[in-house]
Amino acid sequence: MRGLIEKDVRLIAKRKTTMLAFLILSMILGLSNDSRLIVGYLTVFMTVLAVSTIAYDEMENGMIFLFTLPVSVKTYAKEKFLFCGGCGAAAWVLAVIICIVTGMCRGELPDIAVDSVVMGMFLFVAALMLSLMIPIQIKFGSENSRIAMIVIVAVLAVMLSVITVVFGKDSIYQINSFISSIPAVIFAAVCLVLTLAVISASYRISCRILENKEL
Amino acid sequence: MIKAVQAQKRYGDFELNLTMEIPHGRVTGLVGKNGAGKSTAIKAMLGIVKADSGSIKVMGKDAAKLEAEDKENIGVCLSDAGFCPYLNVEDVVHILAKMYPEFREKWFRDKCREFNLPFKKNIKEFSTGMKARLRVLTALSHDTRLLIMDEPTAGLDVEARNEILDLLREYLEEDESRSILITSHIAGDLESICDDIYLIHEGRIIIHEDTDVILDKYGILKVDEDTYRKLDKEYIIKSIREKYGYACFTAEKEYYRENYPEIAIENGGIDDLILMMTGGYR
Repeated sequence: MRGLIEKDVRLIAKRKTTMLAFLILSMILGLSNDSRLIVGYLTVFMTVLAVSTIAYDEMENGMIFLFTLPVSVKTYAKEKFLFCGGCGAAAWVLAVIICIVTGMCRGELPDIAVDSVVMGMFLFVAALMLSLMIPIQIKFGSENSRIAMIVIVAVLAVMLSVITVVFGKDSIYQINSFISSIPAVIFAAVCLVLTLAVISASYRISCRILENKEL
Repeated sequence: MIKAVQAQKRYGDFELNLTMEIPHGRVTGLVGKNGAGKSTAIKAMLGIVKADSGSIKVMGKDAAKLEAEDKENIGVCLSDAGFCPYLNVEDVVHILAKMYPEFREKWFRDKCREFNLPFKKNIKEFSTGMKARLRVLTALSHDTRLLIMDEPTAGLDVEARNEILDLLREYLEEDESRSILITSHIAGDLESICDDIYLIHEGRIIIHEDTDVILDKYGILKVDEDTYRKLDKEYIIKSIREKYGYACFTAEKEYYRENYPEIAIENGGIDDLILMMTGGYR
């Protein structure tokens, strides 16, 4: 596990110019617009960047080689979730700090009640994203996983359209107002439980894919 | 160290059926033409490919159930797989140090310098030879009991090949109970280091023999049609029609040397063994 984390940290460090560029872009965005958006941008960007280490692992039959080292399927999958989750969480913390600082620079004081829910949602979305992306990337590889992601987004869009057509446009607003009516603590707890359940299921699926994959 | 009994794996028309044993303290060669099943056999032994039936035990454990601790005792060098090309040797040192408790960092760094491997250059910029050297050094960098090497000298010039073979000899001298399984298409490499040779063809082991026996007893008789008709064929393993008559492969060349002194007999080597037994002899 420690060896794999070391590898991924070193691989992601090779993209430091990209990370720095995105950080500067986020700060500019934070100073000129709603600074809370930085949290979303940076968290999602860093999660996607961390998941891309799977593509690096696959280069030049690297995945076969990795499994000749003291690495089991479970260790590999576990490390990916820890590393990608860790990167997303670190980016989120950094983004929250930037958000508060840039907000204060613009003379805005943070509204803890609202901001914590919005920012927490970004973390929730990032967790769902990595739970979706890791098994897809492992299953389809770097090229085909992009197609798979496009297909999934398209399917979600179609489902949303169907809901809107079948139940009417108001159904979306009703869902939204229902969510807004849930007390923040209960909503956060539901999101947390849902996140853990999705990550756990995704981890098990990733292990299964790796076990059945002909390397 | 490794024992495969009727281990089968099917891919479409191809079927691997592996029965072989690599005992402690032996250097075993696995030879065969491209596509014969050498790499699949190695992947099956490492548990990367799961056998459909039969069994493969590595250090007493099911190959498919090897744990991280078991793999710490195995050094592996694959012909076409290695660390991500965007990493450099310095990165590899740090990764291996975290991966293996018994990683010999000083030895690894010294050998990299000796083989002129730059520490800060990405692996993708390495030549074929440099990549091959790095793969072998990685496999040897921790205190292992078993080495599995798939074409470790592929793409190397004579000098580099000798360096790699010397490394393997050093590895064996450090501890005589260590074992090596090695595949190579360069017969000279195998003849100089292997104790025994398995020949694999179309997924099956067709010959297993000590290297000394192959070199001492195997040979090719070159005979015209008349001589071929009169020839005692009891010890002929395989005959192939040639322009001049027949090329006959035997495991008892001394018998023919004594009884047919007029026949031209060439010493057999691993190359001849592969070519005669797999139908490529010319």
